[in-house]
Amino acid sequence: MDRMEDELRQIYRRHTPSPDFTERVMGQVRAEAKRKFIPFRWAAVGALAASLTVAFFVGRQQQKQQRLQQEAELAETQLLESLQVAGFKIGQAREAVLRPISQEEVRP
Amino acid sequence: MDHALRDPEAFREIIDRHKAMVYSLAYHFFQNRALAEDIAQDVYMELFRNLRRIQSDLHLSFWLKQAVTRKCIDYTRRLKHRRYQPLEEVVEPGFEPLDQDPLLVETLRRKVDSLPGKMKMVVILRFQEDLKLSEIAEALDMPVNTVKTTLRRALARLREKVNALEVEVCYGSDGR
Repeated sequence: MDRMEDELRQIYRRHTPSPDFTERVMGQVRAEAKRKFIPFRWAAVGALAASLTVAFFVGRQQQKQQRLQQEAELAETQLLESLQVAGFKIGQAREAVLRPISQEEVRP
Repeated sequence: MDHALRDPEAFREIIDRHKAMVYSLAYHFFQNRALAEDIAQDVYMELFRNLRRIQSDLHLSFWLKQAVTRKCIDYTRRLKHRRYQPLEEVVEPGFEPLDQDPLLVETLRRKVDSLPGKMKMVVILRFQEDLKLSEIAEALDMPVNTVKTTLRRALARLREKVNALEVEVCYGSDGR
């Protein structure tokens, strides 16, 4: 190792930056982290609003379907009752038609 | 390294551990404290953005060296036409230890400073960080043989200047 190379090692030894260097970098890092966080926060608010809207519409749709089903069941019950009543009436009419006519009924 | 993204103290520790190396590379390259601090700050911000890609302490150290050398060379290209040296950066009084020859130190410093960007960085990486030729090649993205030739040429130029200086000191500027 010659003298010149030793001198170069001395010249190019490490130095330290100013005492507030780390703090300045950390300030920038915090600012950047905050800038990154703000869009993320708005995205989270947007996602929450969107999911609430979807939940509201899905809930309303389910309610509507439930109401339609209840109406259909009621209509079915009413139809069955009507058919029973009609069947009973038809039975009565049939019995009346088929019953033999007595003399008293024939007499004017 | 991911924990440094969540924990500011961990990132602070990374800065403190490597700041002398990062800052000194830029400082020796530009001989300008303010500029060196700006470059070092940029390097750490870039590191913060790329922290997820760092796999180990060794990788971190290599990544920082590569980032600072790249930034210095890029910055020189941009500043090619407006080289400046603030007065307070010329030589600080009492900055050099007494066992060094101030004339030789100044001559070497000026000569290294006048070398082309990559050649200057090869010298700085070799003598500041004591890197092997292969490590310099990796940091500067150059073939090892090119680094070897570059360093040899740089040292030859410096030696020539030092020899001329010795002749000048011993025999006067006209060589008598």
